Amino acid sequence: MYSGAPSGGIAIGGGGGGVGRGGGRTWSSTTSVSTSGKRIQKEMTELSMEAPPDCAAGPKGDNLYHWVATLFGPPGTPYEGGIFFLDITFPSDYPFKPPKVVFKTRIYHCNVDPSGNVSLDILTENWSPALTISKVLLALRSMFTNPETYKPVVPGIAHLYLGDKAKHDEVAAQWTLRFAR
Amino acid sequence: MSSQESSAQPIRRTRSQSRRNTVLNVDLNAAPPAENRIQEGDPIHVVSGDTPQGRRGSSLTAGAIDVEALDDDVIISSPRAFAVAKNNSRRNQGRVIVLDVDSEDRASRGNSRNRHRRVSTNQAANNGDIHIDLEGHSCPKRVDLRSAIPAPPKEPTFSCPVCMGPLVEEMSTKCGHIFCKACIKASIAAQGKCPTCRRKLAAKDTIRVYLPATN
Repeated sequence: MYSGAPSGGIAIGGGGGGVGRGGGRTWSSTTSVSTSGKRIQKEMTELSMEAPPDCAAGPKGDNLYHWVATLFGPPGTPYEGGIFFLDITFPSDYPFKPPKVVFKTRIYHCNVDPSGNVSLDILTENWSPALTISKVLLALRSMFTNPETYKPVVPGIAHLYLGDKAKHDEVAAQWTLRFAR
Repeated sequence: MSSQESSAQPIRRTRSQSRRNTVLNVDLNAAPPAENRIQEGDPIHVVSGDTPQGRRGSSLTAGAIDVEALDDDVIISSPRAFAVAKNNSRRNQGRVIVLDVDSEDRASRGNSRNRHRRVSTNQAANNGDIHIDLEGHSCPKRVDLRSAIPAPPKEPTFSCPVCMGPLVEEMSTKCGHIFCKACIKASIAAQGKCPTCRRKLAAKDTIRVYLPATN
């Protein structure tokens, strides 16, 4: 049965509907028969069952490969109280290539460039097919609390963070208040 | 075994206490022959000698039911493994019955002797009320033990970390991580690294493995 799975995606979708496994299954069988589609769908159901704390993610519309994610600024950081929206785009050969993650909400952070691109090692050279969106969201969350100051995309912010953290936090909190609420 | 010994100890003690209590209760209940008590002076001797057989039996069971209910609670809520409780359930029942009916020479008896003893006491008590009451009480106990045993754990299923589905033609890397054949081939083609530990891998560094069934 399992050996037939990679080739017969549509048949499996029908079978899932017969078992009564919800609308998601049947809906996807029309859009995706590929491994990437199946994997993204699995991540979707997993995220809906248990999302990481203060995170949410899901498809933007009816395209499985375009997601929107929400991160709440962790308490105790200058981003506290902010709600940050991110766009996630999955490549067609996901999970063998990393997803693209872009901040849609402006944020004062040394690892996020002015157009919202995130510099995170696991989203580039350290990507692994065993990583999931859930783990990426966790990494982004820890980036809020611990900025990576050795290879920043905005060196000015990193310098301020290392030299005068109080001033950095003040500016970041101002940006959070201004853009993320 | 040591836990059994320790659990048997309090039962024995409560049993002897309860026996003394029931004897005293009979004494209070059998108040009508008041002259007897005054004459003899020692109430315990009067009771053990004088009370009629039927009344003594009924009062004994009334006391025994309370104590047994307490014992049941202790046995079920003790932090022993349920599997052990299942194995010992028959033996425990036997022991409880023995302690109720026959409380004189219990100190020097092992478990195997107890089982023999139970048969004999059953035969001996067939003519009295004691035996019927005990049976009626020990049946619910057996049901409790059965329902307390949890269902056996489900067989584990392994999924591929790459496709997150069930393993198809599982293959192991030389670092020991297992994936579907198609998934690890594609991963190595894309990155040349193990998806789990990022160790450098070539296509020849994988080997087909066959996971065992668990039953």
